[in-house]
Amino acid sequence: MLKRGLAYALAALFAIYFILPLAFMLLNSFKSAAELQQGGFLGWPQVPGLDGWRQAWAALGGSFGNSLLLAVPVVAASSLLAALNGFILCKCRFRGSEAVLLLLLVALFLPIKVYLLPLAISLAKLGLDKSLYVLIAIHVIYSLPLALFFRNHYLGFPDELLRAARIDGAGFWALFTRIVLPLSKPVFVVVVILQFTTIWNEYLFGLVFTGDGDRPITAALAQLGAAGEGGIKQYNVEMAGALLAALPTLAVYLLAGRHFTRGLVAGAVKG
Amino acid sequence: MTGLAIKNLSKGFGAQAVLKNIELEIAAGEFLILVGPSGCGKSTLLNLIAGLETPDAGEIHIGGRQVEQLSPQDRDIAMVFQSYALYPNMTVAQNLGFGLEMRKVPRAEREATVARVAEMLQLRTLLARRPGQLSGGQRQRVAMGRALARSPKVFLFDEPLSNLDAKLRVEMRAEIKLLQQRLGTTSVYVTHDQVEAMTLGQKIAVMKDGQIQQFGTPAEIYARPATLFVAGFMGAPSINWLRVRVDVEDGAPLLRLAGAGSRMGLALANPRLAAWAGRELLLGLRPELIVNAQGEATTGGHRFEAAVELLEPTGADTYVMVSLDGQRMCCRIQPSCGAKTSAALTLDILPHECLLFDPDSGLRVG
Repeated sequence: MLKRGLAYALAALFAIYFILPLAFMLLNSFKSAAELQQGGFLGWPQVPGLDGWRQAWAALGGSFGNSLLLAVPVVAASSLLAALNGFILCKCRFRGSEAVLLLLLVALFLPIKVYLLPLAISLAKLGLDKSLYVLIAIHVIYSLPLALFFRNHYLGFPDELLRAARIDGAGFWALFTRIVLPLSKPVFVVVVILQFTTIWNEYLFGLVFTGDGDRPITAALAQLGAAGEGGIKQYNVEMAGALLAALPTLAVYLLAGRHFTRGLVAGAVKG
Repeated sequence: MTGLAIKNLSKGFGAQAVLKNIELEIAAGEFLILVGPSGCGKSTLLNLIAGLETPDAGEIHIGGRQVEQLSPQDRDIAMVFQSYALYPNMTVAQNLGFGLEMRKVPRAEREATVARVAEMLQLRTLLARRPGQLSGGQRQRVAMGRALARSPKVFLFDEPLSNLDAKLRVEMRAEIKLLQQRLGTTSVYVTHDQVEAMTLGQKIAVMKDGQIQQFGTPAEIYARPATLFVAGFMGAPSINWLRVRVDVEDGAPLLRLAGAGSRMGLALANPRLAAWAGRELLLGLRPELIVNAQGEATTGGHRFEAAVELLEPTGADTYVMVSLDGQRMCCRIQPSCGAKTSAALTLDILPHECLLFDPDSGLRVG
């Protein structure tokens, strides 16, 4: 009994420890700029207000939309492409497909910064301007190694299933859309969550390959922090802005989290 | 009319030849069994017929049409797989109708076909379920139904019963045979189980090392096996082997046991035997040809006494293990004859239907 109580106490302690920064942000986002200037960082807001949130939305609303316009197409395109590529690499082997696989694996381990200069030069040579479309294209290409997730899933697919479909008259696309895709749901959940989080939170490409009008929220948030008027930091706006930027990924985890853990172990046991 | 014809078909994977010059022909509506030990190439042959593999050489004709250049869906075949290979994301009804859907059969016609097939295989109550919710036997039925729904020219079965338990296997075996008789569709069935081969087939091709050892009816294969291998592979319990020498006494050939020099004399009315005088042959004796002795010994037969090493009652028959000439023999005796383990038993070798093989070439000589 004592042991159990101790365990709960410890768990509670850690929970508080982890929730503290979030609570701090949440509380301060509802305070007024004046209150914060007087040094009221800790404690409840004296006059809770939505000023911080309003200003944050005014400053970041556009880039919030940009991030959605960026993340949704990228996630959709890259995960579908990954499923297709994973399937081909796994079940439709061709000369050199092993080499492609190896290259994808290598690409997975290279840090994002390595790509920055070559990408910039390539864009310049291609005569492409910075824009959200360019950023979408870059992310879709950069996400090609996601195919590995699907490939590993498809390794567990019995060949007889695909043969049965072929004999039933299914061509490549019918096979892919009617049988392979519906059986990829667990991997899709994992890939969509990982990919949405990655793209939404991505900063470097977002900063470098977009112009002023189409910055994603991460880049805009950083600029918000840098652009305090007259040196006065509006912490309530920054806190609200940071929370705003974090909301979508949080929502995705809360909505799909259960499927996420299920998807991570999918394939461990054939079923 | 020809149901399926295979001409001079060869296939290799890399340097390894898997099938060598396969020749087969069955009439429309016949049930062909490809049987052999694992690695004999029987599944590869089936996959070649299905179009899942491409032959290196040779021709395949289905219903009079040359097909080896066609893709599987254009060959007018349906296949039942060992793992059933049902689409896990679809209901039973969708599984049954998928082939029709892919062939752009109108919905109404499709549904009628699915209903008819479901009726035939007693799947009507299961139509809305998914394969994961079915038992092994039910999955097997759905797999059959999927093949039936398409009404193809040829059914291909790839060891469809090997994942079922013994009792269900026997039931499904009978069901497949009944179904095939009723539909009259040309069928090719791969198995490594010689009992399945004997019970199902109208024609059997016994395969070994990528070649057809013998192609014939079950009765021919059993009674007149072409080679040592076929004789040994077909029949359960297995055939017994004795090394014998051909003697000629009073102008008539007589078999004597090669070892121990014992006085076994088995007279066989086979004129070809004279040519083997003084040479050793392998005598194949099916267990049912060695029986408990009753009354006078059969003329030309051989009566001997041996100690019973093992008794295996199966109900209708009892099999006993005895040693003859240093060779362990399995004999089929009547359960009522009162044989006991380690007691002596008098047995008769019946002279008819003895099989003689040249030990060097493995071919039957008499």
